[in-house]
Amino acid sequence: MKIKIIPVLLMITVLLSGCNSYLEVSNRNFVQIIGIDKTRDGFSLTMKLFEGKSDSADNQGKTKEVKNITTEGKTFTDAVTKASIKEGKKIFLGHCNMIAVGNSVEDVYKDLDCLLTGNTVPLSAKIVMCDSPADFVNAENSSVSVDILKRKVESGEASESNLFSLFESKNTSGGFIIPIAEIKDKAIGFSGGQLIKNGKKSECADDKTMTGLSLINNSVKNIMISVQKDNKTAGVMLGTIKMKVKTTLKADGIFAEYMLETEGKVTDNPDLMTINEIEKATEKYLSDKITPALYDVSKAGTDVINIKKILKIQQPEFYNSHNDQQIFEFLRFSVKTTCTLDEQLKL
Amino acid sequence: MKISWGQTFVILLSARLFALMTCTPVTSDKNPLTVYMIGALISTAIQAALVIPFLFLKNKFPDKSVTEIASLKGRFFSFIISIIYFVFFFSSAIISVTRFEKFVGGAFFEKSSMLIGTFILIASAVYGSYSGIQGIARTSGIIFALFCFYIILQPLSDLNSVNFLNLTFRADLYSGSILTAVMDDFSQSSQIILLAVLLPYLKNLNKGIAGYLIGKLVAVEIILFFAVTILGGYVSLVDYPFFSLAGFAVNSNFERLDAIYIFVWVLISFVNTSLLIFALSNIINSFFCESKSCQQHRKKKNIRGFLCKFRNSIAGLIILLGSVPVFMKFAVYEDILKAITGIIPMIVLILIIPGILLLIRGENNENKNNSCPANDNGSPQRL
Repeated sequence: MKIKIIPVLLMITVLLSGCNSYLEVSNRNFVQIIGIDKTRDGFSLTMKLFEGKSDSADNQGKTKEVKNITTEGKTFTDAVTKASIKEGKKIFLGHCNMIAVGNSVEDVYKDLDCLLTGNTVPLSAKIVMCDSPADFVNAENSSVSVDILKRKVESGEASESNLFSLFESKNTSGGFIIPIAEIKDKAIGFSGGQLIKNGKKSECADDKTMTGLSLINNSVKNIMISVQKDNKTAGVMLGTIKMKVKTTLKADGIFAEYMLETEGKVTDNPDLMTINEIEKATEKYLSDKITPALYDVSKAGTDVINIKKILKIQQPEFYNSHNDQQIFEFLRFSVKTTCTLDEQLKL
Repeated sequence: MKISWGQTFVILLSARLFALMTCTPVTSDKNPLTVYMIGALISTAIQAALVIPFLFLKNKFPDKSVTEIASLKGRFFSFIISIIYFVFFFSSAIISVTRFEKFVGGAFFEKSSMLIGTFILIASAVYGSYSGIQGIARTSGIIFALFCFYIILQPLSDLNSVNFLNLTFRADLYSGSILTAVMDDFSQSSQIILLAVLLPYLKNLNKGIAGYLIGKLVAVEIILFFAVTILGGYVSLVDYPFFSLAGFAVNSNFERLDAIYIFVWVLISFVNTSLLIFALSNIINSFFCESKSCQQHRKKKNIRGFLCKFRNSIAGLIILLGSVPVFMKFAVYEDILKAITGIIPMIVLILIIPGILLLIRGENNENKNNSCPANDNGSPQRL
C-alpha cells in the first residue's frame, strides 16, 4: 500500500513547484543608486534605475540603460511605494550599490534607520555624503561613481563607508566618516569626508586627513607615492599596510603608538637614491600623512579610528572610568613605520 | 530499539541549534554579546551538574522514562508528573512553532500568514514522530552533517571581515552581565529535559550527554565568535544576529549564505518539532497505555485505545490548536508559555523531580513489571 502511495505523492510534488505570489524580473525596477533627502513632510528619493537595453534612443542615437526618477513620501517606505506606483513596476533595492545622503539629512542614524527595515538594501552598499541635495544621482555619469570611489579608496584618497559600518559604529564608537561626493564640470569626484559624531554632522575632514586615515584602515592596495629626501625624489609602489596599535597609560595621558609595516618596490629612481634612503623617506612620508590625520579626527571627538575599542581591550580600567571627552583629551599619538622595499628593483 | 550515544548527541544538539540559530540575545552596551561566550561556558558546566540525576535514574531504571518511573509510586503521582512534563513539552512545542512563524514570517514572508507553513511543519513533524526515535535520530545525523558544512562555510565566507577589536572581554565582564548571559543560555537549553522521556531509548547515556554538552558548547562558541567579531555593534540592531551573519559577507565571494542557513534551519525545526511531538506522545503512552493490558487497549475501540493508537497525531493537533492564540497575537498567552519554559521550571524538571524519584525509588515495586515501556515509535512494546 505504502509503495503505491509513493508515486502518487511524487506526482503531486511536481505541482508544488510553482509560486503563487511571484514577480517577473521584467516587472521589477532595479535601483543602482539612491539619493536620500529630507523634506519638510518626509523624504525625497532620487533613484537611478537600471532599465536594460532600452528601445528608445536619445538625441545622439544612443540607447539609455538607466533612468532617473524622483519621488517623495512621508516615510522612506512610503516614497519607495509611490515610486513603484509611478513607474508601474516594483522598486527593488536589493542591488543598490550606493546611497547618496543629501545635506538636508541632519541625524544620519535616525534618518537612515529606515534602511535597516526589512533588509531591503544590501549592507555592502556604499554611503557617500553630498554637500548639496543628493542630486548627484541625476548626473549622467553617476553610474560609474561606485568604481571611481573604489579606485579612490584603493589609492588612499578616500575612506570606504558602507551601510554596515555605519550601523556597526552606532552603538560602539559613535564616530563615522562618510566620503563627500561632488560634481565638477559634469565629472564626479570625491573630496574629503564628513565626520559624523553620534549621528550628527561634526566637521569636514580634508583630503590630507582622508589620505592619512585611508593608510591605516587596511583598504589601501598598491598605492603609488612620490617620496623626497634632500631634494632627491623617488617613486614607490606600496602594497598592503599592516598596522598594530599599542596603548600605554602615562601620567600625562594615553599614548597610542601606531606601528605600521609595509612592503613595496621602487618604481622610479631618477636621482639614484640608495634603497635605505628611499625606505627612510617612505617611512617619513607615511608618518607625516598619518599623524596629523589622527590628531585631526581626535580633536573633532569622532572616533573614526576605533581608538575607543582599542582602549576597551588594552586599557579597560581607563576606558570605564573616563567619558568620551576625557578620552580624546588625554590622547597622544605616535606613528612608527617600517618599510621594506623590493631588493630586485633597487636600481 | 535504542539509539547510540552519537545519535543521542545529534538529536539533542539539533534541538539546541534550533534555538541557537534564531535566538535574540539580550544585548546592550552593558550586556554585550562577548559576555555570552563566557556565559555559555558557565551555563554548560551548570547543565553538566544538573543532569546527574538523569544519569542515576538511567542507571537504576535502564528501560524506563521518568513518567514510567513515577508510575511505580502510584497512579496519582504518575498523573501529576506526566501533566507537569506534558505541559512543559507542550509549551516548548508552541514556543518552537511560534519561533518558526516569527522567524520565517518576519525575515521572509512579511505580508503573508504563516498559518499554512506552520500546519505543514506540524504535519510533517507528526509523520517524523511516527517514524520513531531511530528515524528522528537518522534524520538528525544527516541534518547535523549539513550544519557542519554550513558552520565551515560561514567562517570561510567572512574571514576577511573578522575584527578582533570587537572582542572586548575584559571591559565587558562584570557579574550582572555574566548572570544575564548564563540565564539566557540556560533558558535556551531546555532540550536536556527531553532526556526524561528519551531515557529508555538511549544507550551509553554518559557519552551521549558529554558529547552533546561539548558539541553544543563548541557550536555556540563558534557562532558567537563570528557574530561578535564580524557584526560588532550591529548585533544589537537586528532581530536575528546569526541570520544577519549569514546574510552579510561584504568582503566575500560567497555574498550571501542565508539561503543555506534557512534550508538547514527549517530541517532542524522539523527535527525539533518531531522530537517534541514524540515526547508528548510518549507521555500520553506512558499514562494511558501503561496498564497491564496495553496491547488490549490498542485493540479496543474505545477512547483510550484511540488515544494510544493516534497519540502522535493527537499531540500534533494539540500543538496546532495551542498555537492558534499565538497567531491571534495573545501576548498574555505567550508570556505564560515563556514562564512555563523558564529557568525555574527547567530546574524543577531536570533536578528536583528526578531527584525525588531517586529518593522514593523502590516503593510500590510490585507494580514495576506492570509498566509498558514504549518501543521505537512510542507504541507499547511488552507487558
